[in-house]
Amino acid sequence: MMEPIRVLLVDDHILFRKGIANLLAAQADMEVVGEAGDGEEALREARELMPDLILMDITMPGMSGRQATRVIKEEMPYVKIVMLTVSERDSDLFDAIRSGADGYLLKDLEPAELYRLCRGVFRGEAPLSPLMAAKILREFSSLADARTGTVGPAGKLTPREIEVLELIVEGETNKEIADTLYVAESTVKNHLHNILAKLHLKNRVQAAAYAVREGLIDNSGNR
Amino acid sequence: MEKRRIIVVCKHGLFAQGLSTLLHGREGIEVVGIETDEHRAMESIRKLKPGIVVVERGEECIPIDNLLSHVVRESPGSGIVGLSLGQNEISVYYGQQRQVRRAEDLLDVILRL
Repeated sequence: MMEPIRVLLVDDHILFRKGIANLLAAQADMEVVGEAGDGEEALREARELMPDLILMDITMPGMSGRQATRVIKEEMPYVKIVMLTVSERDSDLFDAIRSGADGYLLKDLEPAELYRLCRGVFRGEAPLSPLMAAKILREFSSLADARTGTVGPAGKLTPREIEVLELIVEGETNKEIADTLYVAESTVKNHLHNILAKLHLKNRVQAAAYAVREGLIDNSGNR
Repeated sequence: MEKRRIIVVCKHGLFAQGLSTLLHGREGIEVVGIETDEHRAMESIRKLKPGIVVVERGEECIPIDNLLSHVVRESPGSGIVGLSLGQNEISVYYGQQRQVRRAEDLLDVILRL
């Protein structure tokens, strides 16, 4: 049997945190190893517990979730951090991505969806609530309109890799991308590895953010 | 002991389900409904007439004023527990309503609280 995913819950809302802990405790492949009520406590717990996954609120007293995410990702880049928040603000979304978050989920999702997305992050998927994925896409589109045509590291990407990147920005999983492009999922994973290596990025969320920021793809899906 | 029948009303599905698991199986408590939509919450309260309605409060949540008046009308005598995630606060409301026939009715209500 595989080792359970060791989860650290970080949220200053006690009832919400306890409720999530109860929900996750019922999942055979997940184990809540710790809880924290603010960013500083999260940092201490992360250093001590070395969790696989941190579900992190953004707005908390003292050190915010975004600040804690930045520090934890610098110290422990292998730890997956997924923001779990009520905030639909663009600034929180993009700040979280810039801080190294591996995903961004809103608290209005159903428990089954939370479990699925948490498991997916360990397959290289980026948990994103549909609304937030749409925001990334819109941001990306508006920046693409204003792009200057200068080519940075992205110039090394092949047309196929650009296609994959566009679908990542749209929030598709590796499996969905494979279905869209009529290729094997393993091929998509290889494309993703190449994209990350060429752009010097760590994960698909950063790749999506990079595409948005650099305006790599225009509205028709071409560079 | 008769169980307290509870409906949980929260906009955020995760919070609703989490609260339900916190309450589930506790002695004297039975969660009879979980709703994340205002219309469905109103309907459940009307049909199930719970003893207590647990409501998430907040700017983006289902307006508690609407629920209060609905509970008083459709399930008189029910208690309402408001939960404010942002402040970690619990507020308690008593859902009662009576017709005013004389000025002393107000004093009577106050003294009974």
